[in-house]
Amino acid sequence: MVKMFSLVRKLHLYTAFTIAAFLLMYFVTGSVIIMGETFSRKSIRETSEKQFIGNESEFAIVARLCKQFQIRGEERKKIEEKQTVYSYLRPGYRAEIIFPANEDSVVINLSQGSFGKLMNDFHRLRGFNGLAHIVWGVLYDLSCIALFLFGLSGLYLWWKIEKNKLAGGFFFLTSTAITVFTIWYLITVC
Amino acid sequence: MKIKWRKILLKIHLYGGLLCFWYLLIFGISALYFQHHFRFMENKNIPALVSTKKQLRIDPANTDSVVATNIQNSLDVAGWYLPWETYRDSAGNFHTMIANPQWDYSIVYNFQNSISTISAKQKSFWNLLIALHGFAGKMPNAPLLFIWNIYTYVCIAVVLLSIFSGIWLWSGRKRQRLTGWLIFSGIIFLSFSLMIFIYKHG
Repeated sequence: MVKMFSLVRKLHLYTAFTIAAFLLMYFVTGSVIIMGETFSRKSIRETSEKQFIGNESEFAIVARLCKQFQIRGEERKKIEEKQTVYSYLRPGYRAEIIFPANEDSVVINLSQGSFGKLMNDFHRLRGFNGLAHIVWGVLYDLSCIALFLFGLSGLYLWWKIEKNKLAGGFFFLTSTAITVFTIWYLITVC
Repeated sequence: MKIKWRKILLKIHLYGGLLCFWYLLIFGISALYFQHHFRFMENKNIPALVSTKKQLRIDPANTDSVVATNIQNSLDVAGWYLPWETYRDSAGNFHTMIANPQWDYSIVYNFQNSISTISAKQKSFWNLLIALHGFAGKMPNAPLLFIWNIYTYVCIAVVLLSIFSGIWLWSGRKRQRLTGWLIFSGIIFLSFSLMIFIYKHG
C-alpha cells in the first residue's frame, strides 16, 4: 500500500513537470486571449506588393520571393478557381503569395500581428508539420494526458493523506457542482 | 507562535487541486480534441429538429445587427448571432443564425406578417463539453455563465500556484527542493526556447 502511494506520488510529480512545460505557456497565452479587449488581435503591419513575372516556373517564383521577402513558416497551398495561394504561417506572422489565374503578375501580402495575435497563434498552434511542430505536437499531447493523470493521482493522494475528508470533500463537491450546473445550464437555457 | 507554512501550503495545494479537478479533466479532453479532431466527438448530421413560428414586433429600419439582436432578445435565445449568416433576401425576409454550444438556430423573420420561423439543430454533447475550454462566459441571454468565468480564473490561479507550491512541497530537504527548481527552470527554458524557435522559423 505504501509502495502504491509512493508510486502515485511520483506519478503526480512527474506529470506536473510535463504539464509545467506546456501548461504554464498555455495559461499565459490563454489569459491574453480571454482579455481580448485589452490585447487586440489585429495586425500591426500589413504590406501588399505586386510583381510582374516572366517565364519562370511557379516553384522558382515562390522560392525567389521567399528568399527576397524572408518568408518563413508552415507552407499551405490552395488552388482555387481564380487563383493559387501559397500561405506561410508562423505565430504572429502570415504571408501570402497569390498567383491570379490568367495574369502575368503575382501578389505578395505580408502581415505582422500584434502581441495579442502572437499569443493567440501560439495558443492555437496545432499539427505535426515539420520537426519543431512535431516536438510541439508531442509535448501538447503529453500535457493533455498528463492532465488526466495529474488530476486522478491528486485525487488519490488526497484520499490517502487526509483522515478527515470533510474539507477536501467540500472542495471536490464544489468543483463537481459548478461543472454539472454549467453543463445543465447550457443544455436547458440554450 | 511559529506559523506552519508547509502545512498551510499543503492544504492550499490539496484543496485548490480538488476545486480544479473537473476543469483540468475537461481542459485535457478538449485540448486533445483540438489537436486530433476525434470523429466520435464531431457533430453528426442531425437534421433540423424543431421548427416553430412566433409573432414578433421588430423595426425593419434598424441595421442588420440591431435587428438580429432584437429578434434574439425577443425570442430569449442564448448564444451569439452570426453576422456572416445574417442578410435580407429579395422577398424582404430577414435571415440570421444564432449559435451556442448546444444548438444552432436558423431564424427567418418576415417583416410583412411579423412572423419568425425558427429551425433548431442540436449539436453533440462533446461539443458542449469542448466549448467549456477557456469559456469566458459572456454569452448573451445566459447570465449565470459568469460562474464558469469566475471558476476559470480561479483554476488558472490555482494551477499556477500548485506548480510552484508542488515543487516546494516535493521535499522538505533543501537539496531536493533545489533539484526540483532546477528541473522546473530547465523545462520552462526548453519550452520558451521552442516557442522562440517556432516564432523565428515557423
